[in-house]
Amino acid sequence: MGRYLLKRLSQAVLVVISVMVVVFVVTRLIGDPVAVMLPLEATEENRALLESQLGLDRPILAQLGDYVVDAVRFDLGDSLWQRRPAIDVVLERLPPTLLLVAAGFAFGVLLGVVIGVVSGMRPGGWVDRGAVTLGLLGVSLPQFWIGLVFIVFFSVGLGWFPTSGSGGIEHLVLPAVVLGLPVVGRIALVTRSSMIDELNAQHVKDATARGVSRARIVMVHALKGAGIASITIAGWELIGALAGGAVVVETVYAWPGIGFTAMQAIERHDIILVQAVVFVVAIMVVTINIIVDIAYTMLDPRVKFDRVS
Amino acid sequence: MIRSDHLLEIRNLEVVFPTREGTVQAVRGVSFTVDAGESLGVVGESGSGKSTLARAALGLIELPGRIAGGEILWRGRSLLDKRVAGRIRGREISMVSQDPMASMSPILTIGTQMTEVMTRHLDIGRREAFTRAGDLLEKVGIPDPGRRLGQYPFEFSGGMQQRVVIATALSCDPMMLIADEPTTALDVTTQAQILELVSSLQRDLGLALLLITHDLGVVAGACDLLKVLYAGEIIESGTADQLFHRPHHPYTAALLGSTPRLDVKADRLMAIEGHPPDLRHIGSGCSFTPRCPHATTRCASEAPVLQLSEAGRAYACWNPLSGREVQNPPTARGQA
Repeated sequence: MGRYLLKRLSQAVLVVISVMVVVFVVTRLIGDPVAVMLPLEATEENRALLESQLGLDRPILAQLGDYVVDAVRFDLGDSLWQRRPAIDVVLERLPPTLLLVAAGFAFGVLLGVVIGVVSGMRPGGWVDRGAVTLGLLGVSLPQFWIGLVFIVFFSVGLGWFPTSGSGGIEHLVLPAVVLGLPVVGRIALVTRSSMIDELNAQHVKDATARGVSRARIVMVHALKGAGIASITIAGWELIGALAGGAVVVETVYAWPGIGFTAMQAIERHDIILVQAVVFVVAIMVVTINIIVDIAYTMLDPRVKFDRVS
Repeated sequence: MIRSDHLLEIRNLEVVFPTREGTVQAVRGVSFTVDAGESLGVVGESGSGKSTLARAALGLIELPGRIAGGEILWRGRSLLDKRVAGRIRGREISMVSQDPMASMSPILTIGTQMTEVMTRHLDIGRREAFTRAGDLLEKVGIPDPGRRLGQYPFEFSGGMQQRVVIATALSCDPMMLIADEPTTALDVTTQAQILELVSSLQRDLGLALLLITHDLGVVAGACDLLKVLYAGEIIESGTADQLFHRPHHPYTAALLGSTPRLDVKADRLMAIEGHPPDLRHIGSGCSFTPRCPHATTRCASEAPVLQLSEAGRAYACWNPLSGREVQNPPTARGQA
């Protein structure tokens, strides 16, 4: 297990560095931060001065080299927009995002598994058909659109929840549900199909013949097998919610997390802050991947560390 | 309660499976009984309806299959009633199936899967169930049961895993054991050991045994009474001795001729020509007609019914073989 973890961790570091290099290059291709930071009437001299202050006039490879060396020490540079260490800005905005993603993901997985199990027990029945339709809707409706529809319906129309911002639990409900809906859809569809496979497996038929109760077959025999299949998907969903969904949902609901911050940073061409957000998200993504692999080996006795490594 | 003096009584059972291409008549009017302590072998080739029969005897017919007619009585109670069948499965009747490696969940320990049946049916706790499971493993010849209970099915060999399945089947002291091709997935030496285990347990515990197989060598040593199943019907029945030495039905004789033997010199195996009939389109005559060397015009138009001949024997044939002595009938597996 120790050797396996060491191998996975070194792979993870490589992945994070690669992501940083790509983001570094791309952010320098998409626009000129200096042009955004200076007023329209700024002169060429003003531009040159700011560029040299920010180090943007140096060769891109030299910039990249410095950047990687600093990043290893968790120095990601100062945010151009907020004029303070970018890592501080990100870490400050991280807790609201973690809260939102945790709530949305928990909602998505719990509801998804329940729907998947119920519809997988009787495939083709009316419950199943309704669940599949709902699942497909959850997967295919764009989150920014659902977000806006929910605001119009639940906040403006019914007045049940605030339209945006953060504060009490009432602020959390709509963004968490919108973030969780695609998770519900995909987890439900995957759980459903693996439940169908499991319930048709020979060992389930034989367990019935042996006299194991239907409830135990569904909740222990089939669900454990289906859970192993779903856990990879759940890992991807968590990554998707963190790296993608959070940006959209936080922006729609003005939720003060790193996704919203990333949008603001992009609008202001604050490439340093964008890099810092990507850096933190990349670390979380590779961590989740490692946790999923470990969870796999703990749930499925057929998978062992020594065989993987 | 319907009056029945037998442990298991199946009366005129009809099982059908509706498919897009027509209704498959898997079991067509089968009747038989099993008494306490009796061992009955049901022999037939694949598609003869023997596995469907085994599952029906547990009250388990999976959709889209359904029981179109007849009765399945267990000590006078109908197993067509799902609630009755649910209480009896694993408790009074238990089953050992074909592939031991596929028979248990690969992700739950042997101990969990052995005890879950006991804690449901017997009035005992988990701890007691584990002790009992260990004793059972020892009884079926698995050494070091304490450690084995914490292992998963894939950590056992096929033969050992089948012993685990048998131990689980016996865990609630059932009255009858249904074994559906219990040795087919095993290699020949292991087959003999498993059969011996089943036979000795059956004798020691006074179990009724319903042994279902395509292999005459399997039933030869294990069963007193035999039923030969063809195209969902019983075409001949009698004691093992009677059927092996003097088969009346040409199909039984053909089955005997096609059993591979180690002790008899033969240049080639006698295969039965042709294929079993399509169970979606059953004609009016005897279903064995197209493959039967003795078939007449009557066979093609009129189906023979199962009729009693001498003591305890019955056959369904218009042109029965008259007591022809079969040379070297099959012997029990492992004793040949």
